[in-house]
Amino acid sequence: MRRADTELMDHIKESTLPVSNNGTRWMGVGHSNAQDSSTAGAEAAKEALRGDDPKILVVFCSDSYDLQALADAINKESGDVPLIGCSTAGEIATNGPAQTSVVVTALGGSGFSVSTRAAMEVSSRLREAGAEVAECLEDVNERPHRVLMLLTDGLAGDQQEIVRGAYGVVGAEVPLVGGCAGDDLKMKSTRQLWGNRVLGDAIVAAAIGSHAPIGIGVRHGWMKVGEPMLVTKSGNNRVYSLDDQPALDVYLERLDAPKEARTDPVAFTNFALTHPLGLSGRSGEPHVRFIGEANFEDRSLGCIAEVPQSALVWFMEGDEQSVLHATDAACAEALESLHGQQPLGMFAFDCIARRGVLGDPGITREIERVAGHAAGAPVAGFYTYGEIARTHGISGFHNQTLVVLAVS
Amino acid sequence: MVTPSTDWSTHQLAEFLAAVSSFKDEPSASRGAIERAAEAFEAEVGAIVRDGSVVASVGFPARRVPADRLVSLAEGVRQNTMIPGVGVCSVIVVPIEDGQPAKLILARAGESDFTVQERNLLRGMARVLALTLTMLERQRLLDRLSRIQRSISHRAPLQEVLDSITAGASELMGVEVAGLRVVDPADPAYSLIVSTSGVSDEVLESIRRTPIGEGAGGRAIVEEGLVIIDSYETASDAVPGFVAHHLQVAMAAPVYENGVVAGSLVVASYKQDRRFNESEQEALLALAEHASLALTDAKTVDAMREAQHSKDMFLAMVSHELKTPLTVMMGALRTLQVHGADLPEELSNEMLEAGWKRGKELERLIDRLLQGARAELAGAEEEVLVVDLITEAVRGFEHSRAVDVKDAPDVLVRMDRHAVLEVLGILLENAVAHSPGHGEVSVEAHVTGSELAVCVSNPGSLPEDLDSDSLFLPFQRGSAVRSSGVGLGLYIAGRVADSVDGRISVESEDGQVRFTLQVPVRTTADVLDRPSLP
Repeated sequence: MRRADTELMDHIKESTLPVSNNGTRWMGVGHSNAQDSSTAGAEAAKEALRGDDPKILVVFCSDSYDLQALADAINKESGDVPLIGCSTAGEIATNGPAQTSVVVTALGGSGFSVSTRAAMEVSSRLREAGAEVAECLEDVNERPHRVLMLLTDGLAGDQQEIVRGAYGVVGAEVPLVGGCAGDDLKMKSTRQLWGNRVLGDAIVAAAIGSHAPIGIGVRHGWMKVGEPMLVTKSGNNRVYSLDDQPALDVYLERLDAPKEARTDPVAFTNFALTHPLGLSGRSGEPHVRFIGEANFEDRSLGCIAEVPQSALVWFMEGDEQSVLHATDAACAEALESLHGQQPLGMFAFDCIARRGVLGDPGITREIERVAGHAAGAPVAGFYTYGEIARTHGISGFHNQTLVVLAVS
Repeated sequence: MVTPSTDWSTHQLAEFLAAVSSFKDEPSASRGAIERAAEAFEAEVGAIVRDGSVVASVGFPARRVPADRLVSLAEGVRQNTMIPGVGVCSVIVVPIEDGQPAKLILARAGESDFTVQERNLLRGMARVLALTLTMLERQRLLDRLSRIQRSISHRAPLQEVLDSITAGASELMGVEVAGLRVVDPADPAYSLIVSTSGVSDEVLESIRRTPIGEGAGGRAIVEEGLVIIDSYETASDAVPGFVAHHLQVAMAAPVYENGVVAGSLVVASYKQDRRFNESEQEALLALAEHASLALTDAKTVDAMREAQHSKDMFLAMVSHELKTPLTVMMGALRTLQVHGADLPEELSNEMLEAGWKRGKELERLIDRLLQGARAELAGAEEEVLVVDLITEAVRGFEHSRAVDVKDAPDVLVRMDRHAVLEVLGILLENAVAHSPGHGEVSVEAHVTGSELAVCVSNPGSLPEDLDSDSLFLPFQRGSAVRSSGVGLGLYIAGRVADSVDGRISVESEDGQVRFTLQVPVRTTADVLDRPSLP
């Protein structure tokens, strides 16, 4: 164990257990909301690096920081342990949700193998870039349990293409997990971290191999509202018409949207956060598509991933009860896959839209529930613009969803 | 307002159609189809297997696709199997097109079988994929054909065009062998391979020249239609060279040149169970049509090049022939102009005589050129006594050479007198020009039935480097010929004879060259029976 730095403890609630160790594997989580980028990076890294032989750091941070200074401070602290990370729409640590902060997670010990990869300028070649980063899985092939974690630029285009590209390389044997970087809902640009580099329009990936099981849970808890509609025209992540009517008009009318959401882009996005689209699936929950913005000229809706033409869709709504129920279900599903092993820690990739439904008190209760499922093991995560989880079938991209990764 | 059905499979099929039909080429459509199908069925892995190989797959790590396993799944009827990396899976296999060996396979983790509704949906998706692939295949064919058309219209060398057709046939149909056969010009009972794709040197040697009627290619030439041989190894009319290498199936379409069958375009495969579907048959016919176009066009191009070559030769010779006498005339005139008063009268006369002769030469040359231009314009028929016609023809030659009229019947016939006189004039002039020394030129005429034959003979022989047909082509002169001229005489004679339905033949034996003009005439009896046309 590393020596605890008492100065750091001011920023950490006493109730948290930032590190978990079972002998050959450990996971530590550090969280800092210091305003200075270097200080925040150093604090969070120190707190996370509580074990020997760290294999990887995963960093989730606000884009309000000087990300280069933050990354340099973390790398200085870790001695250049492999690192992936991204900017967020809010951070999650064991002690609860936060904003304008940084969360650093460290995985270490001989029981883990890790390899990282980054792909740049991905928006014009999403599938190819997804395949490119997935190649790092080869480096951890000797481990019986593996997962590929992807952190992507959620504003770079159809994220399902990235997942398809990665799936084409890793195949059905290895699950995919991760999320789309955010920018505190400014919807302008996001950042990805890889080693000491700060990237944009990029994908960073970590192949994590372990001696012990790794579990993934996926749920959203949204419910269909009203009658289904046909997507009569769509393309390039936009929905132009529903039932042959301009999509925006159908959306505003059917949901009886407030007046300001009908003209103001910011008000629209806030409204849309809690009213996504649902796509019919063969079984289980409908797939949810986050509506990020609307074009008030051509009356179309902009989504983070493809909404196929001819698809049957519903508008969706959620309430605190349904969303929190989904949180429990996702955690239980992830833990179930550990086959009785205790979790070393849990990652949460939680859609920013759920935060919109739950409100600030609600998201605190949500993370408390996640921490409760972790049973004392640390929790790290971020509020995302899209979530990645492929455990069965081949569809792996989600919206307005909570994805939980449990590491044992 | 649309009231959409909430039936899951209906919308999956509509989504699948929208997605798959947006792909631009066959590999991405195949891959996209299998992905979208797997997404819809929540299946972990999927594949398209065709002709014993995996065309597209999803869900297997890169470079670790269990091809053998998938091929055996495609052939089998098992519903549950172990898939590497996934575990026990429920498997569904549907044909992509009825009667075709291509199959679409999905495998989903768990042991619960695919439902009847799912099976129906997947069949629908397979049909959508088949239609998309057919459409893309057609598009690819059109692209290939337009490239071939461009190379033809850009006058690419014929071999290059033919090679691109055989390569295109091989690529479009995904076969290992493609070739183009043409009828052997030396022996039309055989055909020769002129372009191949995917044929080894060893095989090529054994199939280079094969009898017409043998193999799909040989049969397509005889039958002038599409020929398919499915069980090649046991076919009675197969090419032995291919049988020895276990060819399984061959298809050929005839290739034409100016509407006459000239060869065939052949595609073939060594793969067992390979069959050529309807769209492949259409594609081969379309490619064969383009090969026909290329062959016909190449002939036209050759003719144009030949014409261009002739024109160049013509200009060179004519300019020489015009220039030489002109130079002599100009020189003589200039000498007379400058020194005329000082020249002895004898020399002045000699110069005037030379100028006159050269002027006559020029006149004759120009007449010939003009005659050539108007050779098709036959004149009017008139009644003439054959003996008078021959007398008139030889007049003018007698002063330079002994011309012996051996026979000329006193028969009244009706014919184009002007045209016949023109031909005879050229034949006599030719005879005089090509008789060594003062050899005698003889003429004899006969009327047999409704044909007049006039023979003009002179001592000598035909040029060794020209055959009898070449003598009648323009600008053709034997290399040993010393007389001046541009080689237009016999060409013009031939064309004038043609214009009155006559013909000229030539033979050479016993030191004599003998040109014979045969023209149809109408005798008095004919005229009485059938009044002449106005």
